[in-house]
Amino acid sequence: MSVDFSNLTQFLQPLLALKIVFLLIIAFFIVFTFVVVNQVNTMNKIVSEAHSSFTLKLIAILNLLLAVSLFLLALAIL
Amino acid sequence: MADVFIAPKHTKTETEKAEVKMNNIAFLPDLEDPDHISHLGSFLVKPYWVSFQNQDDDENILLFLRPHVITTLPWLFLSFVLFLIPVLIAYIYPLISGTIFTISFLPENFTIILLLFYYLLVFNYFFVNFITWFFSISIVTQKRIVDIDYSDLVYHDVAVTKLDLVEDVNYTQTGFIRSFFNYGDVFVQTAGEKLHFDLLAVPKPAKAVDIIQNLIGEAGHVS
Repeated sequence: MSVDFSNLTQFLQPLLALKIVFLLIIAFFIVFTFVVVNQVNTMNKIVSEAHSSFTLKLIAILNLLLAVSLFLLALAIL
Repeated sequence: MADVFIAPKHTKTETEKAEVKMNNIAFLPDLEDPDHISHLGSFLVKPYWVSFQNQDDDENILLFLRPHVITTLPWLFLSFVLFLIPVLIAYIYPLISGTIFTISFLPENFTIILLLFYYLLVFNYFFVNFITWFFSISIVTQKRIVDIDYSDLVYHDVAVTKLDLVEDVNYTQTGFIRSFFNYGDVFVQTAGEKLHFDLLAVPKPAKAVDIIQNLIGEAGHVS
């Protein structure tokens, strides 16, 4: 019985490893943007201002969506 | 000698006490029309569009304070510089070396993702600093003072004290920049569990102290 190392060699290709590193970093960044959304919601419950609260919440959610979009883009083109 | 006349003691009724409080509130200037009000203001009098958690139905915000906008300049400037760095590299590098700047060990698709990620980081740096400033708020109502400290994204501290427990109010304004832009630190000493409230870098500290003093009906001091 022989062990096929071709898959292992492919796995160790630098660009593939770099892609995985990029994706991991962006994934952690998505978690960070999710925390930002959560904190904006929490603070809006403590102090609420007409229009400003909604705008901040919208920007925080857009930020999260941008991070997710970047992750998907990296997954596709890298 | 026997007393000829003893004036009956008059204890203020609840209505009279409320009238005194309302008279104290009446000295506050009237608000401008809503169209002219800035939601990013740092010194707002009677901001009716603002509400806070556990606010009573009959409780009105009389003074709304944030750190002076000048305190946002360092991170605003840094955000601007960080935003410009890739642009400057793209334009200046060819002038110096005669070639377009590229990261030689990275393929083009990685460079694009890196650039997009960099700008997302810069935007988040700006946004987190903005919400840190935006949610660092001090509120004075006719009943109490609320001080909200927000920092480091995940830390916030909400301190509340009744106006009856406020013992002394004073402010400090030191340095050329603070004097020029008229902002300083207001310190409220209380008899409650939290001994002092620090309202840092607020605009017009003298006016803020004056308003709070009028509300508590005591003389403070200026340092």
